[in-house]
Amino acid sequence: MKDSELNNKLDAFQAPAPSDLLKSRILKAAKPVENTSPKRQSYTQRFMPIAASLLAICAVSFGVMQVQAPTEPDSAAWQEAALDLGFEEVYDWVETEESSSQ
Amino acid sequence: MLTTPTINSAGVSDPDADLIFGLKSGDEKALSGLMDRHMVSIHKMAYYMLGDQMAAEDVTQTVFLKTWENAGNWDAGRAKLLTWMRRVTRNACLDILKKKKPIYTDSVPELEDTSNSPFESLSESQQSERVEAALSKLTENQRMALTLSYYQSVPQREGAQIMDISESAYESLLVRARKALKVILTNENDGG
Repeated sequence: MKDSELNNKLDAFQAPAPSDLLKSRILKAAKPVENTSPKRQSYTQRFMPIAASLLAICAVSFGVMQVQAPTEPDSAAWQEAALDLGFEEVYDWVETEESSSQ
Repeated sequence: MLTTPTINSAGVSDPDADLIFGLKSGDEKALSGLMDRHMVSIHKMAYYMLGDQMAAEDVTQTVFLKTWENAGNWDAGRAKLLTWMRRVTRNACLDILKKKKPIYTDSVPELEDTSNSPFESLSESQQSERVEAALSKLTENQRMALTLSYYQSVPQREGAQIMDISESAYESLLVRARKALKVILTNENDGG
């Protein structure tokens, strides 16, 4: 078979045209495309994550500080310490003054 | 909207450059214009590959929607838009053919071409049916190469680009496709 004969045969077969509805079907299916350039975020939107992070860090830090805060020894311990150091009288005087002023 | 075709890095002007800006900005008129230009061609390419009108229409829809959705990322310097669309068409067709049971093999018998009698006696529709059946017996790559080259008049370089093969591989694929087709048509003609 010659090339020209093959071409004639190929010409005999032509694909059909698409249906008339195809174009409208595609247009209907085409969703609006968002602009590819990233949308400008508002000031609030941009800094909201940073603010949230800072707030979380503050909350955690405050919690840690609360846990680690030195507990004040009770008055009996202070009194015992004053006794050991020989400042019993001064201690009694200060404590008495404080209690009387309150 | 751009009105003059742009020249890409390969030195080839893209006749669809005037639509690209519209596609990128989501203008449906640009999509409509693109369909007016290429919908029939894309559909026919899919039909030659699949031999099924509905499947070809589905592929056509897929191609245009992908073009629409990816227009924002389109790099005009890389290739012509239609070349890219044909490539998407090819991939979509191959996906469909993969899902079907593969009925095409790479081993089409390449017998000696001795006959020179075309089937002139057959009616036009019979001839068309026979050619369609013969095309379906080619391998997917052979059928693709023949479709691009013969039915779509795609230049060799672009055809190779669409099929992601070298130009020499594309050329030899075409030669094998035509030879195999001749054999198939000759045998069918001889057989009845």
